[in-house]
This record gives sequence, C-alpha cells and structure tokens, in this order.
Amino acid sequence: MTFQTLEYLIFLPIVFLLYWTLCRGNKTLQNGLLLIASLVFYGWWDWRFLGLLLLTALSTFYAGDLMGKTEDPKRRKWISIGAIVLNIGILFYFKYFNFFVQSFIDAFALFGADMNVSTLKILLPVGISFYTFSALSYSIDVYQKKIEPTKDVLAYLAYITFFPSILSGPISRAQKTLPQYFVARTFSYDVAVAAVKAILIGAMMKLCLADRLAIYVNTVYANIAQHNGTTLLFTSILYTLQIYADFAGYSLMAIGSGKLLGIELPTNFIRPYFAKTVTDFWRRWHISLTTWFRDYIYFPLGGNRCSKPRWMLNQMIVFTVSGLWHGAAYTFLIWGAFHGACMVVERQIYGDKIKNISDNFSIANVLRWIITFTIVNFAWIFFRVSDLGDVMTIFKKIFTEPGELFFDLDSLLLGFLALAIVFIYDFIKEKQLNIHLLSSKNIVVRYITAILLVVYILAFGVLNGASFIYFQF
Amino acid sequence: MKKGLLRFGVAVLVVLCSVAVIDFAIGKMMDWMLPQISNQGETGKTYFSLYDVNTPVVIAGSSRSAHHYETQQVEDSLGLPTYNVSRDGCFFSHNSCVINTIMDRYSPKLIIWENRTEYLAESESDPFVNLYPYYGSNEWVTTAIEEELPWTEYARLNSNIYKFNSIIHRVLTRFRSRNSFEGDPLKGYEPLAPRKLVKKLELTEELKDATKVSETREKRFRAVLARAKEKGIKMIITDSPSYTIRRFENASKARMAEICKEYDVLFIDNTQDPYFLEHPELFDDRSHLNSDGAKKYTEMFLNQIHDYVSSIKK
Repeated sequence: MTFQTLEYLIFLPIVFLLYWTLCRGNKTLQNGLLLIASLVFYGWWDWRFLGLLLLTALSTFYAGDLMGKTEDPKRRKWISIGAIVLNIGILFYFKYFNFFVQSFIDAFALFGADMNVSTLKILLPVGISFYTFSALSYSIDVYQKKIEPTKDVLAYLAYITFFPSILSGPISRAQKTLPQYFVARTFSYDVAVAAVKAILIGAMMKLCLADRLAIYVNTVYANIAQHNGTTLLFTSILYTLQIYADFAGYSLMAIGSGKLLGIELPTNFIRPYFAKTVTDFWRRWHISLTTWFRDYIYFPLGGNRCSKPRWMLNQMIVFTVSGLWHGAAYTFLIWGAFHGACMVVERQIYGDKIKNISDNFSIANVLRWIITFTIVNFAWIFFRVSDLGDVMTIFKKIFTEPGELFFDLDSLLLGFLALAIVFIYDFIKEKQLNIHLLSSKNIVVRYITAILLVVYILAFGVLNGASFIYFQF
Repeated sequence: MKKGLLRFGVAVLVVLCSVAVIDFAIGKMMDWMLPQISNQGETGKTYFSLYDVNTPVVIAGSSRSAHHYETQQVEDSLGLPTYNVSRDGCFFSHNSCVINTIMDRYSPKLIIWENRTEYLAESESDPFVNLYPYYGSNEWVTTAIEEELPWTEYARLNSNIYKFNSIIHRVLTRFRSRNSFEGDPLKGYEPLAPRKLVKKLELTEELKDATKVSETREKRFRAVLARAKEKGIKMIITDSPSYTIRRFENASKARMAEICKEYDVLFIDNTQDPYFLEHPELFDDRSHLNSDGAKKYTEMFLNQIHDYVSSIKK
C-alpha cells in the first residue's frame, strides 16, 4: 500500500475517522490507533519485516530508558554505542553486506586472488534507512541530553512507526516530533484543509508529472545504446525533473497525511531547482536527511570550526556517506562525492559570501542558476543509472553524438503541461507572490481549484504507474 | 472540534460530489464522441475493431501484427475485403475481447489472430488499458477485466474520467477534425519505413518464463475458438518473426497448439523462421519488421495458409 493506491485512499479516511471520533481527546487511544494503523500499513507491504521494525524501535526506546536511569557518563556512552551498533548493524546487513562482500572480491581479483565467497540473497526491508535514522536520532539526542528519555513506550512506538513517514520520510527527529505524541491531538479545520491541499499537490506532482516523465525516461534508459546524445541529454533533464516531482510529491503527501492526524512532519523540500549554488541546493533538497547528517556526522567531525583542509575532508566525508546512504553502489558514492567536491569548490570561490547571495534578478544569478542546474543534472545521471559503464556511455554520447530527438508526443505533452503547473506553483511560492488559488480568500475559487485538481489527476495522472523512487533506499 | 470536523466533512463532500458530477458529464461526452471518431487514431481504431469493422477477413493482434501484415496483399491474395484491426500494446485478452465482440455482430469468413506463443503463460503481461473505455458497457471487456485485474483496478473504472485516463485530449482532437477524415487507405496496416539503426541489431537469446499456463487465459482462448468453430469462422493463430533466439521452455505454446488442434484451427509459429533470422535489415527492432520485412513476411504467410483458406477464397 503506497500513497497513490486505492487501498491508501480507503485506509487513510478510515484511520482519520476512527482517530477523530473514537479516540477523540485521548492521547493513549490516539497513539494506540496510530501504532495499529502503522503496523497494518507497513505489514501490508511485507509483514515479515514488522519484527525488525519493532526491534529497532524497542531497542532504541530501552537504550534511552537505561540512559535515563544512570548519570554515569561511561555507562551512558556504552548504552548509546550499543544502540547505534545494533541498528547500524541491521542496516548494514540488509543494505550493504552484499555490496562490501562483492567489493572485497573485486578488490582481491584485481591482484589476481580468486576469492570464493558468495553473496547472500537479502531482501531490503522498505523504509529501513528512514526509520533507523529516526530511531538513532532519539538515542543520540538522549545521550547528548538534548531530550529527556520518554517513559511512554506507546507514544515512542507510534512516533517511530508513524505510517505517513515510515517508508520514505521525512526523517523525523525526536526533539521536534516526539513531544507531539505526549499530548492528545485536537482537530483543527484549517490544519485539515492544509493537509488535503498538500496531499492534492503532492499527488499531482507524483502522478501527473513524475510518473508521466518516467514513461519517457524509462524507455530511453532501458535502451541507452540505441539513443543519441541529444536524446540522452534531454532525458537526463527530464529525470532531474522527475526525481524532484516524485520525492517532493511523496513528501507532500506524507506531510499532508501526518497533518490530517494532527502530527506535523518536518519540511523536506524548498523548491531545490531554484538554487543558485550547490550549497543552496542542499539547503533545499531532502532537508530532513541533510540536517540529520549535519547534526550527527558533520558537527561531531568538527563542522567548519576547524582548519580549511579538515573542513574540506568533513564535507567530503558527509556527502560520500550521504551517497552511500542512498544505496550500495559505486554510482551513489560518486554522486555523493561529486556534490561534496562541488561544495568545496564553491566555498573556495565564494568564501563566506555563499550564505548571502542576493535573490535579485541579475545576469550573474542567471548564470549561477544555470551552472547549478547543470551540475545537479549531470550528477543525477550517476544516481539513475546503476552501471558505471552505462554512465560513461551516456556522457560520451552527450558530448559526441548529437542527433534527432526521440519523440513521444503523449508523454511530453502531458508531462510539460504538469511541469508548467508545478513550475508556476513553485515560482509563486519562491517569489512570495500574492497569488492564491487553493488558499484563495474567495471560496468559489478555492473549491473550483480543488475540484479541477482532482479531475486533472483522474484524467491525466498515471494512476497505475510505478512506486516512489526513494522507496528503494 | 466537533463543529470543525463536521465543517471539514461537508467541504470534502462538496468537492467529491462536484467531482462525481463532472465525472458523469465527461463520461457521457466521451461516450458520445467515441463512435464519431471510429477508426481515427489509436483510440478510434479500438472502437472500430469492436463495433464497426465488417470485412470478411479480419487481422487482430498487437503492434507486431499491425506492422507485419500488409492488408492489401492479404486482400489481393484472398480476393476478400480485409481489415487489420491490430493495435500497439494490445495483447491476448484485449484481442480475445475484440474477436468476441466482432463475433457478436457478424461472422467473418476468416480471422487471423496474431498471438505471441507465450501469451497464455501467467507471467506474461496482458494489459487492458486500451479497453478501459468499454468497461461496463461491453460484456466481454467487463468480464475479462474483472477476471484478470485486481479489484483495486476495476474499482477505479467506476470513474468515467479514469476510463478515459490520458486519452481525453486525443478524443477531443480527433473529434474536432472528424469531418476531414477520409478513411485509412492502408486498412489498418502500419508500415515501419526502413531506417538506418544507430546500432546494428544483434541476435541475442530471449529468455522468458512461460512454464505456467494461466487457467483463465486458457479458458478464454478455448471459448473464442469454440465460438468461431460454432459460427463456421475459419481462424488462424500465428506468431510472426522476431530477431531473437527463443529457446525457453514454452508450455504456453504447447497448450496453444493443442487447443488449436482440438478446434481445427491452423496454428503457425514463424518466430524462428531462418530466413528472417538471417536478415536483420528486415527488422525495425528485435520485435518488429520494417515495411520491407512485412512485405516478405505477408507473402510467406499467405503461401503457408494457401490450402487452409482455399475454401473461402473468391
């Protein structure tokens, strides 16, 4: 069951109604219902991994509880390390075991040694990277005494397993999100309306834009050898747009679903393709992951309060690990490291001014935007194509094999229609223009926009399309 | 809070009711437009195949069939008006619905049904999307969709807009230009002009899992053949050349041949014809012949069926 399925369209209203009628004003009942709903939601995907999810949740909860019972720094440290090792260990086993074994085999093969070690057939539990990071943030925050350990196991389990965010985030942080589970949520009409708007816009981005462009992108990338450089360059741009619409659309639906149940999830995207530097891009893209890495890896490594070479190293470490977080493949590593390197170079060029680049319209800003978009666009090729050989073929063709563009009228026509809508919506938000349709003061405009949006999704959304790209991580 | 919840419920209900009204109106409009664009474009071709084709010889199948059988050649050889109603992306169940609907209206003398030999296998994709507009109104389509697709899919088909998902603009465009349509001179045949491929085709092995036959598809296949036999319609089940080596275990093909024999239907598998495997220049891609290939193949096919169709020839 994913957000774009009919099952979810039935599931969410049922949970919503039970939540605000039967469990009204009762924190325990609300958390209990959320936990049951989340387990059903996750189990619908693959019930065999429910145990793993509960293990992560309970291990971090009890680690927090134990840390709360002692003031001995050494003991607290060991408990925290235990929780981290256990959960990173689980993540490593399911996500990276085969990658590292294969890498060792390949490395030994380079020196002529034939290692007879077989990899395992391991199924990746969906959402593991997301819920593990949420759970770890709790353990670390308790250890660092940023938050008090909770005694309310039900609230904690409801927080970790919260179904809108369990599959692909936004990665919740205990410090901000967990306290919401300690009090009974009350229904707010305005919040519910905002939630529905977020779900509608997210669904439009996913179904009308991302999945429409995916038809073209998948066709071309399935047969790289048969396409020329012009088509491959065009496809890379379409994928850049697709992944944004896919993940930002998903995040909006998650945030909207959370809001409907009175839980505020963190913002994940702030119009990243309006960024004028790669550094700016990372302030806007997958914010919940970027801030997680900033707080739990970058800052402990010293952040930027250290020598320049050390700072450069920190930056490279964080982004390479971020690449690896996305998947066990060299292409992800290169993608992450490339972004890290670009940010290091930017810092050399701009210095401290990087934080204060004006928002005015100027030739310099247009150039900055073009350069940033080009960098991000080329980096996505590594992200999309899992084989390094294919990546090289694409780059070679882009620069040496121009030709006629492969044309799929329907995908492009409907894709660009959706793109125009998303662009206008993002542009209005970015420039803070006083144009409102879904939030118009005029009730007729508000309702007509909502109705047309639903009709548009039904008429032109790819409703039997693919899953969300970030589910694989 | 209770008031807020009620207000929210009313707002949602207003939106849903308005969507339902628009859905109904769009559905009615599309149902009215479809017959008027019969045989115009892909969407119109499906309507034509279901409700308007009336030639004594009908060729049905997917894109392979649309590109591989030159209608005029068949017509000239048999001396009977022929139409190729094949359409891109329309596989086994789609065509079984088309043929059944045709047989409801009249009895053609010959139906050439191009099927990949593995189409009866459970693992084979069997899309219905091009028949969605007829869910609820065509008995064969409705039954097949409900038998083959999960409930989540056919539940959505209760929305008229969803039935026409992603094709509303096509219907509207065709409808606007309907008066200038002068018929299809190629009679459904869609030639692929020979082109210079970026990369020369390589002969590779095609691997498929066709070991398990789908019960519902087998049942549907039998039913179509039984109806054709009962109505005295000659039928040919065939699979045209591919530029791939196909050595996989194919239980579907064996069953298909068996059933054809049972109902006195001619079954011809040309996928591995040696002549075509030696001539990659006759292909547009691994699965589709270009117009040169289609000409040669239609000629070969007509020779193969010569004796079988002698009784219906004019």
